[in-house]
Amino acid sequence: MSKFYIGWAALVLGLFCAMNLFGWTITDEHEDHQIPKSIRDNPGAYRSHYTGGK
Amino acid sequence: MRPQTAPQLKSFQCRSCGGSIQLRTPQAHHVACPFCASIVDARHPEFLLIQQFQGKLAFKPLLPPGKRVKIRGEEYESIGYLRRTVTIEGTNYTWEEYLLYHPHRGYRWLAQYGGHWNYIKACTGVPKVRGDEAQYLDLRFKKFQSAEARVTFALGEFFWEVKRGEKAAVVDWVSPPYVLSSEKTEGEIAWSIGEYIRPEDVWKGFALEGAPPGQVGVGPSQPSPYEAARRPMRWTFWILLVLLVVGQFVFVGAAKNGVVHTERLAWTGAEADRAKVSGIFEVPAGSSNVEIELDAAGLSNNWAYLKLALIHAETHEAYDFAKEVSYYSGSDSDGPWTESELRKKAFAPSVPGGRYYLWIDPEFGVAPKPAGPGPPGTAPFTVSVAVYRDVPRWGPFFLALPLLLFPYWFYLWRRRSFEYRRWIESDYPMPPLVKMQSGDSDE
Repeated sequence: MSKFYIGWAALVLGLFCAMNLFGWTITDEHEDHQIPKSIRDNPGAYRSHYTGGK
Repeated sequence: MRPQTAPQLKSFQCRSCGGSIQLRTPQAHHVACPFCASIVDARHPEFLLIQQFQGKLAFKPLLPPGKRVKIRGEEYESIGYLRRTVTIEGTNYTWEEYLLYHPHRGYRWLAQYGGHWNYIKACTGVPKVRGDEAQYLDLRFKKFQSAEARVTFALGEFFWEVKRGEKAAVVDWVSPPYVLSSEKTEGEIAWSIGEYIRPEDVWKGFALEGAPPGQVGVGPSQPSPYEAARRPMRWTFWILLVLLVVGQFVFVGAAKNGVVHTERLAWTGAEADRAKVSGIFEVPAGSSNVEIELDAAGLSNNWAYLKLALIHAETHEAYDFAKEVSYYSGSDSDGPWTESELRKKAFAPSVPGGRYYLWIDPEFGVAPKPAGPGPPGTAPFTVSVAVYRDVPRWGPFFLALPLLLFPYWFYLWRRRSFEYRRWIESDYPMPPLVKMQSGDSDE
């Protein structure tokens, strides 16, 4: 039981360190993608994938 | 050492059935005839019939009497068999006792109940009893059960005056794998100590074929399979917890949490449907996180849905977010009230260093008036942004904490469940962890 626990804990602590070091997350609230170069000159042309308010 | 055969052991005929009875021990006091179970006084010159058994021999001992056996490396001869019964709340509970004999080591018992076996011998001293605890040698026992036991059946020979119906006040204390028992009869208290023995070892000791009968529940002295892992699990848990907490403080301490850009973006009423971009700012090299703090102002009984993007000025890679802010106020019978949600945070866990700008496109519940209500030049709606690089994160810590807790909690639950099943048969049952709605309880 304790050997399993140690193995499991090694995985969890490894995940904990990786999340901190590499910025991994399980709640991905953002999306990253390429946009046209002209957006800075014409901000209204960009269409975020988030749509609508209330 | 093999048991020695006593040279002058008696042999006589049963006064009840005429069967031939061979004594196996010189100390035999009463003998229950192996053919009719009637009890004969083996010390009386005429082998007086003490008690005649009227019924049929309904009970066949699991272990045959009169057999040489080897238990825990010690040889004995099985000489007697008893069935003893306690009645609790109208229900009879019966266990078996097998009397073993060796001319030098003396007597031992094997007791069996529900497929659980104990290897028992008489105590060499009197245990100390204090309340519900007893101490014998260096062992501390907890009181398990007390009841009045009566002999309901006997076969073979015994070194005391055994009788069917003979009663004794029996008290058991347990300290797995040991069980301490006291038997109080008229003017005498006999103490014995037993150790749990695996059924397979009993079967092997009696050289029996097949498998022993299955076990029911948890035996009072049955060693917990979870006990050996108790200390390693506890130590492992605490070490891991310390590692996690220290690790978290290391990561929090190492986080730079630097402000890389602040700016206030403003929308006049005429610009309400337009997207705006911030100035370009430098996000330091690396791959750590970026947090964007938004502080809106200028809303009155209105909400704004902010579509937000952090865009790399050279690669044009965009990180999209959406946040809603709102501000409502009014007055009712309790007086004035406000509901404000004007501050929000957006978080990107891993952002490469480089030059970035923000793009914000607001959408309003009620479109602001073209001319703002404030002084000339004042925008009706503003969003102050602050961009931070490498902020401390607590999310991984609070994700890892329950994952580390769970195996230890599961172990504790299994261990307690085992003890619960042990003590459910005692006079001191443990309270259940979960109470069922029907009023029944279970783990």
